Amino acid sequence: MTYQLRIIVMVGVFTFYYIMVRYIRKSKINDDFSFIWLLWGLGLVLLGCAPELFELVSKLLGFYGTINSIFFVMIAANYCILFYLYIKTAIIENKLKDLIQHTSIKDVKIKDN
Amino acid sequence: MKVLIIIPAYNEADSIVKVVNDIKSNCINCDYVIINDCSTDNTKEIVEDNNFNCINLPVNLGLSGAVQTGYKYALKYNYDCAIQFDGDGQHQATYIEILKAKIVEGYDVVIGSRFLDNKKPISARMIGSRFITILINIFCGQKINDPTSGMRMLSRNALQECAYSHNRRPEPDTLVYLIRNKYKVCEVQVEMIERFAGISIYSGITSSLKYMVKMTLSIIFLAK
Repeated sequence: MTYQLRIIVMVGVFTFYYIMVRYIRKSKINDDFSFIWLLWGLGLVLLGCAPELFELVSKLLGFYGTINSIFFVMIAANYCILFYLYIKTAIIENKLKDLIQHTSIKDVKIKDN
Repeated sequence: MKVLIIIPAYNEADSIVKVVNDIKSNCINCDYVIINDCSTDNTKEIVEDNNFNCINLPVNLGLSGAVQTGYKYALKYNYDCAIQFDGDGQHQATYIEILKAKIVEGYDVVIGSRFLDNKKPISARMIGSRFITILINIFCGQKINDPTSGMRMLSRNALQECAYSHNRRPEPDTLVYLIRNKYKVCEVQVEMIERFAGISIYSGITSSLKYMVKMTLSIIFLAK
């Protein structure tokens, strides 16, 4: 990894962190969700600071090349995040359905047939 | 025994008055409630003008969401059983007492079946129905002749099971779940008349195929 690329990665990650923290402080996003992205950013910082670490880990795991292992980790992480968001969305959808049903039923009284 | 007739209605302006009048004249001991699933036609106005019992959903929840609203209502107001009754005029209220008698006998779910005594016609839809019947037979050991019938009466026990779970929709996979969990399910022969207004939600090839795939996967993997 060249020094220019490392600098670009670090600047990108810190900008991302800055925006994220600002949004959390303004309560625009839930800190539960942002936790995942903070971890993601941390991974990128590690990649920028010590790419040798990734080379070592990918060799240990038996990847053909470091870039393969990085792509693999990125795709796997994206799947995990997608699945997590899918679960969250399903929970919210169910809660919304319950709320709609509850409020609709609330004041309805049946008249005699 | 207190019975609630749940009528899910989405754009049933042409048929809803006839359906409610049928219930009022043939089923005087039962209460009914229309679940207006955010219809885009004038179903709501017709229901209000006629002073029918109605729960108006502010957003469209689909058939399962609408029926589940009725189940929750039945539990909240202590009904002993509830029946799903289509708002398109296909179901006849005269059969409700027969289904109710089976609930009194101790069954948890009574299905108004078109094919208990009559043979299934040969059509694409009925091939799907036969396939689901076979699947249910394989996975539960019970033959349900009309698993896709929308006329189902549930006891209070079954209502409690179906009202609060998001995956217990009024479909064949729920029947599989209930049979596997030792609920007593039976069928009663009924006659249904052709819908005279509106269109079925499973009328297109794509939606029918989607339904079949969903039901098959759900029966095999999920309904435990």
